[in-house]
Amino acid sequence: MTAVRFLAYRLAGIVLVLLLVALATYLVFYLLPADPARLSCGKPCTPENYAAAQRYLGLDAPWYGQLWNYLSGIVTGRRFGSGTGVVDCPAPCFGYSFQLSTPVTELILTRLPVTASIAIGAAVLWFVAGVLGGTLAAVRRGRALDRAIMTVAIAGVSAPAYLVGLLAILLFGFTLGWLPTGGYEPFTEDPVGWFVHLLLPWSALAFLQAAIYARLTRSEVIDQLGQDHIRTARAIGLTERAVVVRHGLRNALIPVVTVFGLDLGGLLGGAVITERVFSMQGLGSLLISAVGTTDLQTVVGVTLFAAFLITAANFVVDVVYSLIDPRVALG
Amino acid sequence: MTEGAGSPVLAVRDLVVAFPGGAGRVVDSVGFDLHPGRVLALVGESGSGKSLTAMSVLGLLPPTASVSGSIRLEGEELLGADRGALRRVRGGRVGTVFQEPMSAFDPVYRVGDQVAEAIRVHRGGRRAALRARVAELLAAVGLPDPRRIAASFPHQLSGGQLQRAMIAMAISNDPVALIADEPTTALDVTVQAGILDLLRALAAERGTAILLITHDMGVVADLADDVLVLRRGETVERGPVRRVLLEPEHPYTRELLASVPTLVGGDVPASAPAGRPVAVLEQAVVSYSRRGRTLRALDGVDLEVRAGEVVGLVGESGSGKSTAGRALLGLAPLADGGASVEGVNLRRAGRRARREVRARIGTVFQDPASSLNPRTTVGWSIAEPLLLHTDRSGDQREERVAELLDAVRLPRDFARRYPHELSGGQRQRVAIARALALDPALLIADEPTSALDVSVQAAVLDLLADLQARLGFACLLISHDLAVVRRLADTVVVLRDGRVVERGPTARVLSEPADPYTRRLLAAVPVADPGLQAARREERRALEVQP
Amino acid sequence: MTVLRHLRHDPWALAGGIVVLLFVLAAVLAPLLTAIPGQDPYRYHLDALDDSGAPRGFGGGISAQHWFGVEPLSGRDLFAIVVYGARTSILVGVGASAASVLVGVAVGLVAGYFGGWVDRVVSRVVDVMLGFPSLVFMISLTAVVAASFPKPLLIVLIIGFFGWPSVARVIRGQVLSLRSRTFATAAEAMGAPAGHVLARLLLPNVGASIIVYATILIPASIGTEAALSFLGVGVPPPTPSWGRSIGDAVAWFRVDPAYLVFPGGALFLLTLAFNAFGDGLRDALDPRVSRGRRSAATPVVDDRVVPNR
Repeated sequence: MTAVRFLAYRLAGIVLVLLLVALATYLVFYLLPADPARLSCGKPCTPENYAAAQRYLGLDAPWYGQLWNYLSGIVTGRRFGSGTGVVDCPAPCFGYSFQLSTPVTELILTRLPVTASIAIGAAVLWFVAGVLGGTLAAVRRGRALDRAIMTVAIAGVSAPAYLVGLLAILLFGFTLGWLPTGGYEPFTEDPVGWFVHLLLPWSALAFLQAAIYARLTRSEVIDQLGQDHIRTARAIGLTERAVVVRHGLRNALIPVVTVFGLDLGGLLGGAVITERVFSMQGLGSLLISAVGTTDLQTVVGVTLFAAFLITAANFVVDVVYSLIDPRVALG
Repeated sequence: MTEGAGSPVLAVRDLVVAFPGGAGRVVDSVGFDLHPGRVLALVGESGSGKSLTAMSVLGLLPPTASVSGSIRLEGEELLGADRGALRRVRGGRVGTVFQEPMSAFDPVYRVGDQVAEAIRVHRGGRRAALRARVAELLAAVGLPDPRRIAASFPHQLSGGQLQRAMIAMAISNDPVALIADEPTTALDVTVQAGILDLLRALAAERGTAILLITHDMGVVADLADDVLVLRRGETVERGPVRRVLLEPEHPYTRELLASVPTLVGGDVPASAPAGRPVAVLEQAVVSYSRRGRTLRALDGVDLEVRAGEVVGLVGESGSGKSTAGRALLGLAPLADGGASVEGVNLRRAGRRARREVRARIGTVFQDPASSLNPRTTVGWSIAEPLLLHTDRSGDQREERVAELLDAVRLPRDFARRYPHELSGGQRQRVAIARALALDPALLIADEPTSALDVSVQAAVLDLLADLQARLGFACLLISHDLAVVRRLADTVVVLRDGRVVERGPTARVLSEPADPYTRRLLAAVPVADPGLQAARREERRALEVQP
Repeated sequence: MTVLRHLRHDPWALAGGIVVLLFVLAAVLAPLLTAIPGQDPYRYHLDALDDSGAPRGFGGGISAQHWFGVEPLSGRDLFAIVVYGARTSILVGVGASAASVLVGVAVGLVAGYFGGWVDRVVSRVVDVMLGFPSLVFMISLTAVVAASFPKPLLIVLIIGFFGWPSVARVIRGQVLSLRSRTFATAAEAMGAPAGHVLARLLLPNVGASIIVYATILIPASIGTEAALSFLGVGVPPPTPSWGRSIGDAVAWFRVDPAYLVFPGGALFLLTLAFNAFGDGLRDALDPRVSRGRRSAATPVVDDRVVPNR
């Protein structure tokens, strides 16, 4: 299969997945008995008011009509109501928050940089630390360094990010006073402040994941080092370092990257929790306050946006995967 | 050793390899000299220590192994040498070729880059120069279109191509010695013949000394000048190949040679009086799709196995021989043609009828390591067909299991053991007992002895022959090994690319083959007699010249 | 049994198993345990607080009556909250894991055994679900389900629902490799129906993996429940939950670190114990460790640990 066909095939695949995800999400939120019209109908909720609210929100259409309106709104934008009460929701429209009188897309975009900063930084940190630690442990298998790394790893696996975060705040924030205990500085305004404010969130979120990746990398590298081609690499006179890095780690990365792709969804969840610990106003706090006020448009919008984001990220991981494993791209 | 011209390239003395724990000495006081241009074969069955001996030369044993003695390469002591010195030897002055070329290459790099890496480690060099040198080497080992091969990933090449590339890698730094560890074991015989020719040419033309590790006496006869026979880590016999193979002194060597199934001499089973047809394939077609293309594993095959008869189905990998067996079991659906067993048409039979047919067929497969359920006892495995197709009580089943264990000459108390407590040969006997549990009309044996040592293989083949003579079932013996088929089969059918190229009585097909492919196949099988093998080699070359 | 013998020689696993057992005992005997100092997790003790609502005295108000001190603002007994919280955690963790394992094993067996388009569809669904931002979905789901639906049950169902794909993936992979092994082919060749192959051959061979996976899944589910409660969308008050206490502690831990330490310590200890025990169990059941290398005879449990967040 050529690279172009491979990419086209994968792209078609994610479009299909996105559609199915949107369908599933919308159906779940449509079928479950939380009635948005009743919530926004006001008091007293007369039948006339209720019907008007339904019409206004487009809930008088059958479910497939609503789904279509919603999906096409993402592409072309949407208009709620008519006459004086008209509300415009420009494309891409993930809904309109009537509580906040703002399109959901706008809410998401103002919050996204916070969550993205936490998530991406933490992912880089955990991947690098995990792979390095795991490789070192594999090479020094059974020795003190291996034991130390694996002990930290098993503790890390058991420590939720919010616990680690709170303890880190207690130590580095309150006791030592080295780092800020919370808040967020936009990168564009204060790059140094951005970095300093994110250092603790990154470490807190990455700690547990780095531990998991260290364990995974260790077992994969050990497994690879037992393969026949490693014997060949040694038999042509490569140094042990070259054997481990060029042949052992290189092959071990394939399953590690697979798991990384699967963990991106969890990464977003982790970022949501980390936001709360460090009092940052990201997507997570948006979602949780929307849940609190039963702002369904925002809840559905953020959820679907998150699903889209992760699906797109998974596509990137798929491409990377095909680059590191020739059997996938060409097979 | 013998007629060593000058000083040896490699001199091994009193080599002892031991592992901590119960294993003790796995190589015990082994010594030999390896001379330029000559091939020394280390021969033995599994557990003989032959591979460990070879790996100790390169210092590639697991770190838990303790090694003593002396290994001198051109006078330089390698045992206890520092890591840098050993690395310069590996791939530099000593090249290595391993078994299983498919897994010996790193799957994520191009073959050419891996060969280039072997050169760069020892000699450095620029990209362009390395690339030219790689192409030159790949051409030298007889690979057509070396640039394409160099740009391929391992999974895109065949086993034969990869093994040639592996040899190119091994000789890339003009080594004085080459270690070839079972270099042709995973390959088809016709491919094997080519690789052995290549190795012989390396010794003759480049003066490379070759240490050949093998279990195959035919390969020894074809390639080796000198032989060292090992058993459980100890030297049993040594000498020039002609003497050891033709006039073995030690009883073990004699026994080993006697168990090798042979293509010449000995008895060919007299054709049994054939009864009614038990299994029939008629113009059978089995196709499967791969990467969008439809390929035919069987392409119009006619086959008939009669009661009391053993039909040997022979072919190389990809010939469709295993598919034919699966078609008779109804496991590979026919795209066209017909298949019937005991008069039941498998294409028209419903699920139930098909199940009943399978009760009339016993099967024995190749891999003894996974042929039995690891979580259940041997007795349960043998009784499994009874459980499925009869309503016998537990006691009755136990009784039958005991009978079957007697029949395959295993102690009755094996019924309570688990598969991992058994050796490969024992497990294969259990698999035979299971296949016979329901007194089948047809036994399908797919490579039943290919994973076993020769001495074990001989015993299992004898057992099969005995049981067949006594019980009179029809038997379809599927094998790549012509000698195995010769020992058991009344009739031989030769398959190639899903088609039958020749069929007939075993004695006739194997002595006067009519089809050119059968002739080439036969000629490619090495026999354990150096003189005879040299003559056969000439014949084979003559056949290759003709189209 | 060799597994038990192996576990006995693994101090980490042994300690883990004992700690898990102690937590389970504490959860079961919660009313008796809290009766010793005469406490329960619901009664307010405003007298134990100062004017700002923080507990009086050392370590968040540790005393003979309040072994772990009291909760800020309400003065409820923290020891009782932690002990009763163990009930919540273990019930939710075990319930959700059982649901995940049940569904996952069934789906994995079917997909691996039948193969073909069934397998393709299942694998795709599993892949998509595994990559999903499941925590975000869980949070959203808590908002739209009718308030009349019991919340703890909802949490169990939601966590269980997002847990099965990882089980299905592991089981499917193992079934695929088992099916290619000769004894499965031999059974088919002797005319064994699907039920026989699934129940007598495949299930016993993946049994070890199921047990190991369950011990890894339970702490992960406990962690997820704690995370949801931490975010304020999990088990509703006044039902005691470690996660919610930790979440509440965010506002107090500068003045009252003990309020974070006890529930947080309990959560960490129980999770660590489960993981240590699960690790030991995997090693005991995995021939790769005891024989030093991967054996072809027994499939190996996926080394991926389910993270808890």
